[in-house]
Amino acid sequence: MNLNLSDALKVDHLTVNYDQISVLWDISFTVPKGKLVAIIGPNGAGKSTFLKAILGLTPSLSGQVQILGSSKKSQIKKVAYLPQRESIDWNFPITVEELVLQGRYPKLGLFKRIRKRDREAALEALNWVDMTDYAHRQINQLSIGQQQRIFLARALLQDADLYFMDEPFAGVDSLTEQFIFTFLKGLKKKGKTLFVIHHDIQCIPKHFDWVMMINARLITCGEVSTHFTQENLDQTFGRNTNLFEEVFNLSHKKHLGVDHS
Amino acid sequence: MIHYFLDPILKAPTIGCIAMCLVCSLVGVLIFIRKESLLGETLSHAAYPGIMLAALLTLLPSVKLPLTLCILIGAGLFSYLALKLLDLSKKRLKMSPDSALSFVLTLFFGLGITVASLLQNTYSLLYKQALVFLFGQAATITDPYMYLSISLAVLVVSVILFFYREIQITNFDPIFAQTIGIRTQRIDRLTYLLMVASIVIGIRSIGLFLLSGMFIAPAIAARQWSHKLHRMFIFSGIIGALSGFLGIYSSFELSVAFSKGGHSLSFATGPMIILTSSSITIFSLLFAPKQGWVSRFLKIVTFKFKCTQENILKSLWHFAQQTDLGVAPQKVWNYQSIPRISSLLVTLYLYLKGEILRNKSLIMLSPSGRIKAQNIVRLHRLWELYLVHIGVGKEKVHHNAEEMEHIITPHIEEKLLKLMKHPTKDPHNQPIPLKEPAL
Repeated sequence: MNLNLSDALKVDHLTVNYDQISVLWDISFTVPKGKLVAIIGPNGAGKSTFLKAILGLTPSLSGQVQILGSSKKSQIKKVAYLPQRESIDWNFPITVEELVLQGRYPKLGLFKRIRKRDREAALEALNWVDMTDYAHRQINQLSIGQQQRIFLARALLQDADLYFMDEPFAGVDSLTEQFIFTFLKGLKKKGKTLFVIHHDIQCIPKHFDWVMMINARLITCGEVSTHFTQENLDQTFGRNTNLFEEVFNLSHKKHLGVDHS
Repeated sequence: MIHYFLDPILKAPTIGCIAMCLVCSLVGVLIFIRKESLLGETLSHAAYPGIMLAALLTLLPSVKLPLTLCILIGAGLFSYLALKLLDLSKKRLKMSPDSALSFVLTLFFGLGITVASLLQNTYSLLYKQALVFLFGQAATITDPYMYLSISLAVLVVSVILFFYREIQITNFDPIFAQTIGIRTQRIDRLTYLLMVASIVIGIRSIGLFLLSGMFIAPAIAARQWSHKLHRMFIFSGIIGALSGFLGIYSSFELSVAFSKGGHSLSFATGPMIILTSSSITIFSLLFAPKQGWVSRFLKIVTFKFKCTQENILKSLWHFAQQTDLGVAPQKVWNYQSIPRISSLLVTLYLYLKGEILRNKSLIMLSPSGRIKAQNIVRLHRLWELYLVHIGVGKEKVHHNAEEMEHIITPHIEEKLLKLMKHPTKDPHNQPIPLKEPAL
């Protein structure tokens, strides 16, 4: 296998099935370090599954994932994940500080006590996202933008090399959006690689260096300047893929036994 | 009270009950944060046929186990079976979670009743023995059972201490938990295992019908007092253990008190425990600081009181622009949208506070009242200006500013000033009064 140490992520022939149904289909690509990568595709195209498969949360049928040039199990501490808003229970009894401290758990392991140093690091991370005043608030008292910020703080505290973010911009106001972009670019400057599932296609050339287009299969993956083309967008979102989607959906239904045609 | 823990007859029921209630209230927090409160109800009721079938089985000559042990095994087996069936209904039969819960509950309960009526008609003595597990009978708890309850309590407490971080992350953000290498399925399984164990051992003291209440009530109460998970465990545990003790205490004392003069009236322990914990829960919902109903009600009243004060001061300020002599209070009250009696009381309050002065039948602002009023007018006009700034029509801004003048904090005021570069005129060309320090 060709090992290149400057690669952040290398994926070979990744296929993911849910109950015999292909959700992601033979995906191969390589992304170098230090890029801000947008992942786009229509709803239900498997973007979230894609992230989960790379993180090893969803068993893949076949394929290989290399993070920073080695297999994923040993690399788990180098990866940070920002969940989708909907997967969080916002009424959970937890304060902002406690949530951010979770970013420290991988370092602490099971039994090490949380020390002053850890709390200071958490406060510093909160300071980065301008949320120090809210450290002792319960998370359901925050606005959506503020909630998103504290999750960024947790990811920051993980001090990872690769960041995977599932729609960090969902539901935030324009001020927070700007803030998040500045934050992401700050991480990129430090040499981190960021994968961001994103919906606003218009702003991709402005903010991202790389783009991945997914619609069950990988349409394209490369620099925005060369790969963010109308032709690729058409293939991802456009009419000529309708038949592909139709047959794909039909196969889902057949396998689930809910097809009535 | 202390003799409940020393008396050879009372000791086992008291300590056994407290241990069981502690267990249920801690496991209850685990269920609460999973939002599966109904699960306790379903799984405990599912033990019903297990109890009855186990009682029937003891009739077989080849079964040499004592009745209690048989029943515990039967109860555990059927609770576990219900858990599996729930899983199956949700995943394979595509039932919604609440349908699956009710479906499994009634299915098992129906089965239970069928076996129970069989047992009742043919072996009524055995049926009576099995009944102890349906309604609970704390008074007859023996030493071995007490030790069993204590062991379970120790186990549950250790699991929670040991896996605290895993429990927190798994239930809060399962995908993140997996990315940092936590095996969330193991935590899930552990939770369910503890739950079935608490049901099996708990039905003896609290009874199958009421057991699920001990899973729910203490956790809800604890949530009112804290928004940190570790404190929730502590509070819930305390509330649970306290309910256990008060339940057994009141059931004994009341039974004694009402049994004078030939009549005997017995107060069962299980219901007394549930009544105690439910009372604590209702108390918490009402009186917990910050989240409780009373506290929220007081906050609303305080806010309305503040608004009325500010409105009256503001009206007086407007009158002061026309005359220095003061104004009849009725004139001011005509401008308020609240009942006259409230206006009168608030005016009286402001007078006593020294923000309103009296000159015979007329009232006017004191110097400190004037500064306050001026600040409200200032916030009102600043807000109007801001609304126009963001594109709201001039004629529409007044009404909204009437509300927001009471809301804007000094911090927001500063931001407004900065944004509009310390303006001097409002959209209606009225001057924006300068901020004066309070006297």
